[in-house]
Amino acid sequence: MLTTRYEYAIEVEGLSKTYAYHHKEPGLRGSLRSLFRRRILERRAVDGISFRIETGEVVGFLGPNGAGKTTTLKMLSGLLYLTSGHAEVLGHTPSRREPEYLRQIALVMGQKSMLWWDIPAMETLLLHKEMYDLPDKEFRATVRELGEMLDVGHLLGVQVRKLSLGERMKMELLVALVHRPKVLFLDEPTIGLDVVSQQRVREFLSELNRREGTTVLLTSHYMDDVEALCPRVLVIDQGRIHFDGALTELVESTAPEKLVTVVFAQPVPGDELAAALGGVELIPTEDPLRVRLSVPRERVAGVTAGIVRLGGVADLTIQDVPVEEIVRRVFTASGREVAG
Amino acid sequence: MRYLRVWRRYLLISLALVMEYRVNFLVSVLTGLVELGLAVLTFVLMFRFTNDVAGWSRAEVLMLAGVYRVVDALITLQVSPNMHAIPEYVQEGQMDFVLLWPVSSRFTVSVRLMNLPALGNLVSAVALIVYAGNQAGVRWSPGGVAEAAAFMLCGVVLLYCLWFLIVTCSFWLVTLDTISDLFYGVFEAARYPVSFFRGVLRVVLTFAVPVAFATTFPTQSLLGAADTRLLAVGVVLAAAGLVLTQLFWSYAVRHYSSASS
Repeated sequence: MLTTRYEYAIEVEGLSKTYAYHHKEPGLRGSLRSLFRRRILERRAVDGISFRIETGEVVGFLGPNGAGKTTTLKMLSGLLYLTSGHAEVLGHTPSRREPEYLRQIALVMGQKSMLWWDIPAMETLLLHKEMYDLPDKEFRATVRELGEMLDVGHLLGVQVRKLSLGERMKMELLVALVHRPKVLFLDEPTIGLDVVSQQRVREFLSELNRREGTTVLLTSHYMDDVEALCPRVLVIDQGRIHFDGALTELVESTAPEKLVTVVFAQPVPGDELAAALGGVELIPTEDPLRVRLSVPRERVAGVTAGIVRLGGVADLTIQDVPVEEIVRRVFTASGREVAG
Repeated sequence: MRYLRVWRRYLLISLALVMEYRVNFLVSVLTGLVELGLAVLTFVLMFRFTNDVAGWSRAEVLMLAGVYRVVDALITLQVSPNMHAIPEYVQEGQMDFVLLWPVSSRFTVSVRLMNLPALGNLVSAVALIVYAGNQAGVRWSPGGVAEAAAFMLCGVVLLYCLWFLIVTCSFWLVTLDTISDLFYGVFEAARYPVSFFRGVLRVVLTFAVPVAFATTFPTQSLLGAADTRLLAVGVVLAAAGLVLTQLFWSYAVRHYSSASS
């Protein structure tokens, strides 16, 4: 393995960001008052977080709006100065924005576009070619390769405003990656996309990570993104990290039960069923033949066996609690350290 | 070199945009011609009843109008579209991309947009200078033209610096539209030779607002009446302006709070 100047792709220690803002009371009087005497308030968007990400990892940032995900991403890419703490990405201090650093990273935001609306995306690509000083041959090879992976190669000459939302997002990724960054920051990359496009973007990102070893840090509202892409998640709320670890570990520690759904061929007497369940709670459903159960992990085998013994089972499924539900639990237990 | 190639790309993008809106382009060029006609008419009327104002003859003032329009065209071409866009980048968060390109952010925000229809104004303004110059009996020399161009360039750079300084405040202020209007108001004064103004106002227009460098001095160069030492002053001022605005920009960027997505 090659020796590099840095041990981790991303290293963050006690990172904090405080925004100052003015308090303004409503109405004309409030406006006048705030003109002369401003109350400057502070909001801690990020409050002393620490984590390390290894080269080639794909890590998901989970958290509600205003949790500090985007602020962290912006500090790591170099857009925002830190209030306190220490951050190092690829051995660089991001906020210095040294050209050598900027050449190795990319930030893609689902809600902001760097494409020129009225002209084909190729124009923006050629601009990036000059900005990043890419050799002709390399540039063309990269565009061809990414164009194929994203399936937008044939759309490079079409005006951006004529592309669909999904195509535009893929184009956005192509442009952002044309200089082959080592670290990719993604802020809500699939927001507003239809299910098929979301799927395509996910597949692309995981292929990119596999092929190029790109380190990816992404925030998303869609749990599917995180489930499909990120072996590791950071759960953040109110500027603090509440969980840092494998997604499976998060599921196990927060949701010690599984969801069992049983569909019977004919109605089963209530007392027989209750006996088979041995105290496990029933979640009522509208269909009398369908029974849903929330079963502690260690009792799943016993309970399902008991149900099968009742006879007349048409279908039986065992599922994990959805990640959405798990994250909701982490946040309702706010302030309490959940794990990690 | 790389910066030149990046600029060339922006030029090509502007061209592509022009092709996209051809009618728009034609209308802009025509508007420019009408404006030129009106400007000439103003001066013709002004000199109906007098032969010279503050020592400037009719043909000379017409020349100055031409120089003013060259400077105005250069500003419209490269400076003003960008100065108008900067507060927008800050408000809407487009600055994110600008800051993450491995190219000077000040450079990018200053050259990104070009208003190519202004090239039409440039051509007509040069034509006006040549016409009025011949009437004023100018003996054209490469030296005089080069000196005039150098003065104009200093003037444009100084005007750009002034405007850029104001616009950089958008990192702290929310809207700046009215300030840009103020800038235009002052620049309009450059249509007239600085000697039309007296006392404090003349000093302010010459140095605080570098209007004289943009128009009066270049015209005097063509007329062979310029003080060459002033060119050195202009170059020093322009260089100082560029350094100063760079320092202020770097400081301002630290206050960027990046509009939330």
